[in-house]
Amino acid sequence: MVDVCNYSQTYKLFGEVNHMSPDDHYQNLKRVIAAVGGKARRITVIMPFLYESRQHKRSTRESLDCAVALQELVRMGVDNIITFDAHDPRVQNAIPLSGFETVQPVYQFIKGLLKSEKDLTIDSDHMMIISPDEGGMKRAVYLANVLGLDIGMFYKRRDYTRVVDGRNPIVAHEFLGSDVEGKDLIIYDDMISSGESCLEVARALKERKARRVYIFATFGLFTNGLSEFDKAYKDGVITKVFTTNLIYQTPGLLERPWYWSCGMSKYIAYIIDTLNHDSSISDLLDPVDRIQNAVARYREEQAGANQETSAE
Amino acid sequence: MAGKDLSLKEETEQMETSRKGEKRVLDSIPVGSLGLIPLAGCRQLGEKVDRYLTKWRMERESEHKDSLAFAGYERPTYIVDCEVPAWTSTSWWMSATTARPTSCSAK
Repeated sequence: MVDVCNYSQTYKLFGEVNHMSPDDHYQNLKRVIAAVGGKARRITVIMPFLYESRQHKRSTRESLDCAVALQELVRMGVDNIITFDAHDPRVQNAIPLSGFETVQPVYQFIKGLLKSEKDLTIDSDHMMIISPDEGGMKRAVYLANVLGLDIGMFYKRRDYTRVVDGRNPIVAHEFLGSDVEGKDLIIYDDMISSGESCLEVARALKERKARRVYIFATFGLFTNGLSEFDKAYKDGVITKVFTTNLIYQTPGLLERPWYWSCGMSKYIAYIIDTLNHDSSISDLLDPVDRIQNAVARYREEQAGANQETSAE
Repeated sequence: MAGKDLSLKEETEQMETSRKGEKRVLDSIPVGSLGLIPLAGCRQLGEKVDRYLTKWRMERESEHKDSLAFAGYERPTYIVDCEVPAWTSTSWWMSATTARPTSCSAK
C-alpha cells in the first residue's frame, strides 16, 4: 500500500529536511517489491492515487510516465494494481495482461452525504449532479443515474486565437443543463488540486440561484491551502466538501466545519480479503444495490422523523 | 466534527456497531497467507484495513480453518515489518552509490 501524495513524510539530505515527493514514494514501493525478492505468492499494489496518472497521454514530445511506471511494476512481478478513480483508466492499455482495477468511491460519498445532511430530498426536482468539465461527465452520469437525478455540465470557453502560457486562455465557464434554481447541487470531480476551478464552478452555480452546493472529490490535495475554501464557506458558496482518506489529510483540513472525510479502509479491506480468497470482486466494484439500499433507508428515516414531529 | 477522519480506536468501535449482513461469504481457499505492507505515509490507513481483516477472519466460521490450506489465516496482524532507510550520507555522490538496504520480514 502506498500513498504517493503524502508530502508530510520527510527525509534529510545535505542536512536539509526534504518532503517526500511522489517520486520518492514510488521509488520506495519498488524497493519493497525488490526486497520481497520473488518470495511472495502474489503481489498486489494498492496505490489509491495512481502515480503520474495525470501524465497519461501524449500530445507533443513528452514522457508517458504513467504507462512506464505500470510496465515497470508488472515487470517486477506485480500481479494486481488496485487504484481509485484513475484520471484516465485507459492507461491500463500499457499492461493489458495484468490485473488493473480503478475503483470508484461513489457509495462512500453517498454514505457520507446522507450521514451529514439529514434534510435532503433526493429527486430530480430538488437535486442535481454537476460535472465541472467534459472529462468528468462519465463519473457524473453514473452518480446521477444511480440516484435518479438530472445532470448539468460546465465547459470552458477558450479564446483559440490567443496563446497564453502555452494554452488558449479560458474566457468563461459555460453551463449546459436545466435550471438549478432552488436545487441542492453536487459537484463531482476526481480531485481538488488548488480547488480554484471547483470553487469557480460553485460560484457560477450560486449566481444561478442554486440552494446548497456540495463538492465530492476522491482526492483532496488542496495545494493552495484552505483559506479560499474557508472564504467560500463563509460566503455561503459551498456547504460541504467530501473527500476520502485515501491520501494524506492535514490536521487543519479535518477540523474544518465544511469538510467531511469519507473513510475507505473498510472498502479496501473487503477488496484485499476477497482477492486473497481468489474470489470475484465484481460485486464490490459495482455498488448500485448498496447505494439504493442506503437511499431507501435514508428515506425511511426521514419519513419516521416526520411522523414523530407531526405526532408531537 | 462528525466528518473527521476516524482514529483507529473510533473505527474499531464503529466496527462493533456496524450492520449485520455486511459480511462477505468467502468459502474458497486463500491463494496464500496474507501480508500487508503499508509504506511510510500510508501507515494509518494500513492499520485500519488490518483491523478489519483481523476481525473478519477471526469471526469467519469455516470448517476448513484447521487445514493446511488455511495456515496463517487467523493472525493478530497481517502487517509485515518493513524498513526503508532514508539517505544517510550528506554527500550526493556518496549517497548515490551507498547501498540503501530495504528489508522486509514476516513474523
